[in-house]
Amino acid sequence: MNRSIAPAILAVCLVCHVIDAGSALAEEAIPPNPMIATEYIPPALQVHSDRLKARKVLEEFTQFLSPLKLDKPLKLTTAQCDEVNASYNGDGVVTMCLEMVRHFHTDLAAFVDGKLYFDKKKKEFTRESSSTTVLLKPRLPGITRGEAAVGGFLSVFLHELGHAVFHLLEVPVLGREEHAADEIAALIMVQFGEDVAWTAIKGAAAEWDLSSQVEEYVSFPYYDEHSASLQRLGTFLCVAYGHHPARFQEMVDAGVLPPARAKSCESEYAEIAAAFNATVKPKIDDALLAKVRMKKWLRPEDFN
Amino acid sequence: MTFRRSAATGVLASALLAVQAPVAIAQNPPDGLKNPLVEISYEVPRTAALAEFRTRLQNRYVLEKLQVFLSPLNLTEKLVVKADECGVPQILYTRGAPVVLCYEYVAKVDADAPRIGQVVQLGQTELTREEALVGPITQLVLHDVARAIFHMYKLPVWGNAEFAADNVAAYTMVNFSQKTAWKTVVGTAWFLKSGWDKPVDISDIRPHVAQRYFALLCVAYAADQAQFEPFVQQGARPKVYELPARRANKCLYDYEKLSGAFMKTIFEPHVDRPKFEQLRKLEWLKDF
Repeated sequence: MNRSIAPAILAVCLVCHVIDAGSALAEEAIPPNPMIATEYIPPALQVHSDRLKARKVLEEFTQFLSPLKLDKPLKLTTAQCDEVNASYNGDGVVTMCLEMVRHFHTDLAAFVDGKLYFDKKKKEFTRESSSTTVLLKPRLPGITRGEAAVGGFLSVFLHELGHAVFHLLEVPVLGREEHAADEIAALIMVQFGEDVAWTAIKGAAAEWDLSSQVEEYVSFPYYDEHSASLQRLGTFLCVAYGHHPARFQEMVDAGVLPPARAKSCESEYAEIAAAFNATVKPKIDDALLAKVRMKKWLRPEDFN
Repeated sequence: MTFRRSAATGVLASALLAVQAPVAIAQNPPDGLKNPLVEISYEVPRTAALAEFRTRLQNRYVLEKLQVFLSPLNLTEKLVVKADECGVPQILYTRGAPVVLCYEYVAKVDADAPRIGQVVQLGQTELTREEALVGPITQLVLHDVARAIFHMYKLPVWGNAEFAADNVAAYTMVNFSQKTAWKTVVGTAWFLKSGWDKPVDISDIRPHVAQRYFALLCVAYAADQAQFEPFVQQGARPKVYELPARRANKCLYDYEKLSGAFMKTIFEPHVDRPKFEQLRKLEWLKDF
């Protein structure tokens, strides 16, 4: 090891010397490559990036998706997007924006705490009450910040993974694909026992509950390919109630899932499950799926 | 292969677009071109005021034409289609139940349509009474037949069955002649432009009526950009009944996916090609 150090130092010193000699000229004469962009994640987002890395969230998703027999590559990423969003790019890349993760830990957390206002004039969230703000009250009782963050993350990430699955497996989608991506996300969330379903769906519901309340003050663009947030809330709750009616009866009792909708949830769930079994299940390795089902995916520290 | 360019398209669309097809074919269908598994009936309404709508449907052989036009479909079981009094304009299709064209729906379509000789504006375009009548009735029949075949063929339906049925209906409507596509799309759009002020209802599994309006235009624009250009944003900001330019561009991509799904799930596995070719020779579209 020591024998290799001396030549290396010598080499570095020689290079340093050459660079030093021409440094003034180099600064003026060498322009940056216009085709290469650089970016540092802002400190406000870095904490969320670090949190996901430390938790190995993306690595864990690759394990979670191990039963899926893919013929084409799929990449899972997090990134700064300059908007609260997540996406599937139509070419094998799912991206969770760090701004979205921050949103789960800030605005959504304040919402479930009953401390989030919406400024009707500025069209933005605020923690301060004023003559132009309205307090956004959660319809769902007893959701913790941790549940909201975990469930919100899962619903959004699984939604984008749904798009990826439809694309990569060439699944025919006769209806609205954005709605279908919610369906597959909700379906997956309720396959790992009642407790996981309860936590994940409650968190997802908190996100769509919050968005739907904002849409009371910011008119929803009906031309958009996405469903309205209230419709998305209905999809997640109905799939959950359709599969675990006893566990999710509380949602009906609380008036969040109206009885008129609840009565059709069993058939709604059956229709989605049948679509999954016909189009996605053939591309799933049953032995690996059994292992995935055995693993405990949500840990207590996820809710801190 | 795109569905629009496929010869099969015209026949299936013809098969479903019963309202305008030639009466002679409905009365004396060519050999084998009457689907024996499509059972039809015009029920007698209890309400006297609805009787005229039963007569009008009968005189136009609406359901008989449907029997002929559905002949290329290899049905696996009986499909009952009836016109009936429902108590409400529309009843949501339920699995295994008959497809029902409610007399109240026909009455509502009739009431909403411009009067004879009157022409009304829908955005940048003009709309006739015939378009306003033909469009929504055709759309409803196509929508409910689509739901019935989802059930019958046990199709995997992702993305909300009601929405999927709207998509199949729209896809079928626009894969006709330009004239027919225009008539059915514009007429349906006219019908769907009311009720926008109602808020989204979490109890309702169906898409909001405004979502249905834009989804229809999205399919139509993607199928024929030149013809449906008047429904796409013209100025700096989209008007209320216009598809925003950005959305319109994405419609092309969505249409390709819908086309692929339709071919894979419905057309390729369930349409009888010889019958389809036979129907093609009838030159249905020429008779319009």
